Amino acid sequence: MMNIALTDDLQRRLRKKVESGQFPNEEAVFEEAWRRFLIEEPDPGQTPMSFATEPEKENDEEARPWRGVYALEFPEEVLFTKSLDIRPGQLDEWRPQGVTSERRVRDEND
Amino acid sequence: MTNPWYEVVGPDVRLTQGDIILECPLLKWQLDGAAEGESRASGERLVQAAKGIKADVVVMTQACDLEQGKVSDVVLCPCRPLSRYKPVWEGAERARKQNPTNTAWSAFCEDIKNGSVWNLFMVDSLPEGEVTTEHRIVDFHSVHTVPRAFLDPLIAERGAKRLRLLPPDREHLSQSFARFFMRVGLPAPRTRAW
Repeated sequence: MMNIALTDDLQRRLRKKVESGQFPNEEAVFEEAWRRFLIEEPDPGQTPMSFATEPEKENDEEARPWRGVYALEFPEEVLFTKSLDIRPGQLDEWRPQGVTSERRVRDEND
Repeated sequence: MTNPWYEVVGPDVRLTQGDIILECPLLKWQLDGAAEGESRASGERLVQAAKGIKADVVVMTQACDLEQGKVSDVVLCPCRPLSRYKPVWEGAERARKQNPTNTAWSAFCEDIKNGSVWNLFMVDSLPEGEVTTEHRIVDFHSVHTVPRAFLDPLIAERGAKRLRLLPPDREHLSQSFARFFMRVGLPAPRTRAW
């Protein structure tokens, strides 16, 4: 058992990792953080990044994948289905349909 | 006190942008091959199925076009109650091996409310009154059209009152739809010099 005092900022970031659902609890965040910092080979020539200065945006993108465009598949209440046999060569050509408002007709008559 | 988000209108009131129509019949393609008949396509022939579904929708067509009778089809987007949205979101979160905590759900809803999810728009709840609703999420990804000649009689036949989004939130919804539609995906992000 080891007790470590964390700054407010680190505590906030720690909680955020758990609250975002990325980790089940704070111990798991620590384990992952220490594993990356102590065990994994650091990139040569790169200054190790402090947890406190890790760009928050990248974390957010991982924790909040819905930002930008987000699509979910919803169950549908289907009323019916009907098979269609479409032969493009036999379809009528689309023609523009002019819609004239009653108001405009009234104005022109006035 | 009147609610700043909604007014309740009767079935005799003409349709306009921001009207919420519950359980509106819509037509879609059935693409999963579950429908009767073989699903195949060629240059000469397309055998596929259509399906009718019902969904809560909000009218997106411009109010002036509807008022002046300039459109024969009405553009609609689904607007699902938050309670129906949540279990689907939870399923999606579990699928990406994330725990769908209440905090994460709050963050999701906050992001929608703040406009950070471009295809989604949140409208407020109306807990009291003749017609009530919980919060709803409008999804601009699914756009449907229904002939006005179908929708007007449907509303009249049902005879039910409906909710109508009020300005300026109605225009805010419309503007969000426009922003989603006109967005440009850039091939590469800006490099950082800060």
